[in-house]
Amino acid sequence: MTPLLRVHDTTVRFGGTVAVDHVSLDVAPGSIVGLIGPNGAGKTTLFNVVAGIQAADTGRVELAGQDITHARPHIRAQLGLARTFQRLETFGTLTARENILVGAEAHRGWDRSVQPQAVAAELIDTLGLGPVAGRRADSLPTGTQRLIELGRALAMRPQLLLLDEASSGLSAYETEQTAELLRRLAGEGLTIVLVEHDMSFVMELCDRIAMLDRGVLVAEGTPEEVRTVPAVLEAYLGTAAGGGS
Amino acid sequence: MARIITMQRVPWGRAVVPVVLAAGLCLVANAAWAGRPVTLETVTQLLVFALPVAGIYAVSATGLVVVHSATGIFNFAQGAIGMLCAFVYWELSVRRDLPVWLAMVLVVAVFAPLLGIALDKLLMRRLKRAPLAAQLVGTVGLLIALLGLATLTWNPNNSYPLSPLGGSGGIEIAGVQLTWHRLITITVAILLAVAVQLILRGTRLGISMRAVVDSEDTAALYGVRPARVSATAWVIGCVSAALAGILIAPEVGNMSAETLSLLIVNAFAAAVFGRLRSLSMTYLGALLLGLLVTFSSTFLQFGGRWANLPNALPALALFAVLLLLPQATIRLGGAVRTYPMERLPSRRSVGGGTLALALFVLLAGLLASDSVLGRLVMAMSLAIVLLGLVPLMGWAGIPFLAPLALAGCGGFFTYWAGGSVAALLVAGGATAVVGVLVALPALRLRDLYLALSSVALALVTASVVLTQPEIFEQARTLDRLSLLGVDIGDPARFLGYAAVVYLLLALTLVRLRRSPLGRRFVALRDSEAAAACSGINVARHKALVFAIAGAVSGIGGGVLVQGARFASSDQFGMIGGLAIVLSLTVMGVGTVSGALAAGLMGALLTTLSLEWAPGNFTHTLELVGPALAVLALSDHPRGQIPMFRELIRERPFAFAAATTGLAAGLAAGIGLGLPGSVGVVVAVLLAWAAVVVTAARRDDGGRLPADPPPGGGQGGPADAGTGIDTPFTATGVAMLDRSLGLELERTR
Amino acid sequence: MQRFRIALVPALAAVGALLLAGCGEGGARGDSDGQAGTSKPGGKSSATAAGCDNEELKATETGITKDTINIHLGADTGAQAIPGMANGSVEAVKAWAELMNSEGGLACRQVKVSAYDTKIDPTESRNAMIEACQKSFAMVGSFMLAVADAAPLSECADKSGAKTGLPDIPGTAQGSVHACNKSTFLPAGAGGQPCPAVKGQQKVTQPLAYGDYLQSAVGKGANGAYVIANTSPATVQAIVPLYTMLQEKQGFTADLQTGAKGSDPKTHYTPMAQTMKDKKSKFALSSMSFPGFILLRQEAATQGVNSVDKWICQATCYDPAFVKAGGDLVIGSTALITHLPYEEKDANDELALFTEKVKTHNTFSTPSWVASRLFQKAVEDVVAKDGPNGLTRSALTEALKAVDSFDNEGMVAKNNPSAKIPPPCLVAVELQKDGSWKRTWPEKRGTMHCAKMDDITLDPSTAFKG
Repeated sequence: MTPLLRVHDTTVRFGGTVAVDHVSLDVAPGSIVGLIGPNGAGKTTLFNVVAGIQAADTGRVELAGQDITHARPHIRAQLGLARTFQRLETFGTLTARENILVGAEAHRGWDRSVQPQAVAAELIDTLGLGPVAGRRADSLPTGTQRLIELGRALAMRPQLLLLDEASSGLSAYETEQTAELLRRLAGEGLTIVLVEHDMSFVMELCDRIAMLDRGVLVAEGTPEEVRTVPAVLEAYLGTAAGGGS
Repeated sequence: MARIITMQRVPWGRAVVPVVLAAGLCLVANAAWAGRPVTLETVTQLLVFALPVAGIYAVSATGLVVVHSATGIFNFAQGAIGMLCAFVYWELSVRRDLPVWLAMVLVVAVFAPLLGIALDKLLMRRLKRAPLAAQLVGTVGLLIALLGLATLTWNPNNSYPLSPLGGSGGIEIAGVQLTWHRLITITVAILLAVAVQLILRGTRLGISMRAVVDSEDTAALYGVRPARVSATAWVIGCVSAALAGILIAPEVGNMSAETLSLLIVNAFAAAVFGRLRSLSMTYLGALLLGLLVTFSSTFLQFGGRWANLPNALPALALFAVLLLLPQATIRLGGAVRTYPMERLPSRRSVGGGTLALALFVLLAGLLASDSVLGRLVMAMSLAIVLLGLVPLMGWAGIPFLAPLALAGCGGFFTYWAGGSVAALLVAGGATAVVGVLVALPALRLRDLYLALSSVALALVTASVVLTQPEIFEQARTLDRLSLLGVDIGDPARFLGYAAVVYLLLALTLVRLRRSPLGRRFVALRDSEAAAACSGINVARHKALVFAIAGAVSGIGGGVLVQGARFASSDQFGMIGGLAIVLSLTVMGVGTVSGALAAGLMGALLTTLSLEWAPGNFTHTLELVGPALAVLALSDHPRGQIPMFRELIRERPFAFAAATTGLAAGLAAGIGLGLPGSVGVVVAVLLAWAAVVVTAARRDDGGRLPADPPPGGGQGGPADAGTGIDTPFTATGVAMLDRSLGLELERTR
Repeated sequence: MQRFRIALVPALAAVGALLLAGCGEGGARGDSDGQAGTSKPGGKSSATAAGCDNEELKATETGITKDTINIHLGADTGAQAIPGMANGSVEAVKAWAELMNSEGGLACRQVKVSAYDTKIDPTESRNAMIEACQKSFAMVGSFMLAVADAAPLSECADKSGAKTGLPDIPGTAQGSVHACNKSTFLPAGAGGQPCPAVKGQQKVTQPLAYGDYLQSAVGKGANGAYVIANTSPATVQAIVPLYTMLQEKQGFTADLQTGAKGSDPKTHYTPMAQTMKDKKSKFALSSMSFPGFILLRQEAATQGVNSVDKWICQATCYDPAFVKAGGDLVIGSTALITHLPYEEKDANDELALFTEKVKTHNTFSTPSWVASRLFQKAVEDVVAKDGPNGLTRSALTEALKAVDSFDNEGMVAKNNPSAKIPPPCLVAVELQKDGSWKRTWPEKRGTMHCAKMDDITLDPSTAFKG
């Protein structure tokens, strides 16, 4: 099965620092892949390369077999790629509903059959944003804004969803709800790659896990496999390995 | 500070711009060659001519860079501060006859620091937190205010001779005398750069300054005292300005306040060359700029249509430098210091506003004299021009300081298409295309550099483009306007026509804001990265918003020339453009009514001073008005209209009282025939008192009131002080639950 | 409390500014009343004073009532950049009106003057014309630099509604829009360009007197530097015809012909000084206002230019402010003026009267006074023909048209107010060590050198290079 997302031998340098070092990664369609690693490992940089707002020094990115290495972000969105951001990037002065509408309306730009209002209403309902739909996004708490970002991304009906720390700022309850939602979406065919620090979230949710450390891909495989790799334990998990229930 | 990451890197792209520029320079030099022989002697002479010019640029640009590094603010008024110090120096050293060294010490070591502290406390601390465009126009307002202060205190019709330092001798190189004064200027620029560099990078104070620029709150957490650091930064800035002013003043004809204040604009290119942080590169930039300007005046000659090109060289150099900068970047980390968005006007307020405007126009048409009507027509035209900035600056958050450049193009297209009402449509369309061209820098540049490029655009348009013989080299006259056979050249009717055009455009813009496209513009401003990743073609949308701005401002320019019945390049100058952007920002850049209010305010002030209350006070008011405007701006960066809207909403009776007080005072002044100044003073003070009283009792910042009113209070977000400064109440708890989304949990 | 402090500051700033305005360096604005000395009768007296008791006076025209004649002038007194610039014009016209009124009035009526501050702004200039049309009989002595549209003058309707135009006798008319206006009459003449204005090659009439002066001062065929005020295309085109004629027709070659603006620093003049040194220029001729001229002289002195015999500036140098600003360095500068030097008031009664009644003597007050006198003459001519009730705008215009030579009793160069050409006469005065001006050419006191006019064909907009 052709991977939906293929990152091939990608390197990103910032001056003397190598943020991403010859990383190759394949993501199968319909799977949920977790990207973990210590701070500064290069996870968000890699995301930025895939999303198109960071140019890589070497390497290739392919989406559904198409080379998107030099495609601009909005083109990638058109091809089915959506993402959220590590530091909140909601449209602060628009309301929650309008944020999601923007995503849906953009989608309508390349698919005339889309009904943005209906899409937005459905997502607001799914994400439980009803009570705050008419409030300005920047007046809402962080967790709610993350949900708004997620809604905006989903409003584009993407094939591939990149989530950068989606659970950050969410309560335990909200995290669980989100995980359930993601599982359901993956079941419906959405491919998800997530960057996470919440280990229990990652281990429970993901089909495969990749770990970056100082820009290098040090481990890749199923959660069980990765859990036992010594480099992973040493560099990242420390003594509180696993952290299940 | 947000992390900035680069976009698509195209290796050969970086080389294209310098090559094109170099080729362009060669072509121009070839065409405009004056025939002076190129020998070793003349080239050496060129260098010697260039050094003093470079010295002036260097000492000005160093001040700019110093202030920006130390305070984070790009200070348009840097030259004006220097000008003021130079006048004080004249006052001390020439009029009071103090020895030169004493006068210099008093100005540089006493007056300038005090001025710096005062500016910091009164103005800059507040401007610091304002959106970038408000900061820039705030400093422009300061420039105008200082100019006004100087012309009030030292009448420009008198003479203020200042002798150069070091007397008349100097060093002779290749037959050219390099005076001591010029050598001192060059040296002081270097010493200043070195000294400031040492302070900023080598001392704790300097590092604190830079920390405060980056993030004041974080710096405060580390024990830095932002207030003290900020004051010190402005002291350093004003001292630099004073040095520059004292050194440049003897080189300028009769100490013209305006020339001294505006010379700084020529130094922008040098400052930007140094990226506003490297003083050595700034110095190099000043040298290059000096060489360019001197080369043009010695070896080239421009005549005919290009006669004004040498004047525009610094602006063109600024453009070139901005283009040469590495392509800017999509910023992550949320919208940095832009305007909080205004609430969409409700249909009721739109209807009310339309009605109010219609009533006003009707009353004016019936009651006002022809000359007042003429001014109102000008005000309405400027309001339409400013409307174009609302989507550009207010929604999309793109700083643009050259509305009159667009209006000038619109005025020309209107004239060229016959000057009729239908010509406005041609003007709108053609200026929309111009807008798209102007959008090109916006694709490469951000924030401050984008704003500076618009200043360069304003300068080049006014001095080179609009003065072409085909355009407005000679002032053009237009015929009386008629619409469908009905003559509307009469001022009252024209005012109605202009108001209709304004309304149509304003209502269209409101409609646009509500539409998906309007949302996308705001999305662009809030987070360009997220917008791009949400499928929005950033480049296309930027071009589109510029096109809209061009169309609207172009139509505004058309109405302006139709109303004035003539068109000339003087109507569309750079300073005028900055002044109306200032007015718009003071009134509220996010609102369509802000544009109208800004236009009317200018007309009101002029009318007050000329017709109802001639005399010293209103002349003062006119000159000092900008100072008040800047203070108003720093106090309410969102603008007066939003402030007044809130005031009306929250305290309708107090607002009505204030307006009535003002109107009553004015009416009394006019009706009773009080000496004009008295009437105006009374009216203004009455209104001010009312506003002050109102504002003092108004809650700001959304704090929970200590005693919540029975009935539950308003549903604002909870304030962090609750539970610490003020006790929790049941209402407060309910609000907290709502804010935290705990209600959601309970309903599941 | 914070709020009060914030609100107080602007109020304090306003008050502070008020105080400063009061204590400033003579910062009085606009509207200055004519500081006329003692009003003793002298010079001309109103010819109609005698016959005024006979007729019952009527309001025969807009701006004329049975006992007043209202006139307007637009003057650039309130421009933010140069406040008080044209104060002299207002002063002169008001002084003239006072003189009239003290001698029994003009056409048996008292003269009332309204000054409109036009702030070097085209819209305000137009507003001044509109207001004058509505309220006054004529515009007299205006000094408006920024007139872009003279339609309010030409389309002005008189009392009966006929579009006779508003009689306009300004102190100056810059640019052909104002100068070519049919109802405008210029005792000081205009630029000599064709009316109505044409583009491209055109014939411009210029006086030969300047060349005569140069010949006498530096010798035939001398070489020199020409410095042109480059503030706007208009200021360039105003002077290029004269300079071209001097160079091409009268043989005074140009070592350099460069432009300079008011905002150019002294360093802009260094290359010019160098060229003048290299080519040993004999004279320097400048059309700049005096701050620029001072910079030129200062830089030339610094660079050691000593070949120049004559530093010649425009008439704006003939101003005490120039003397004060220039100091010792500008001693010996020559001003070329088209009226008798103020110092020669004992040689001309009208000049003596002017210097006595008007305190400010400069390029604003002098032409405005002369304009007032032309207006007075035309009114008196109408009254002589039709009596004091014959005053209408059309009658005044006819009377003005009939004046084909006016020199205000020898005070100024004679010129035809309808001809719109430069005056043909010149006096050269040189600045002395004690700050006074001494006539150098022609030598006889109380006279001017008048020469013929000549045409030069050129395209003013492309003729200047540099």
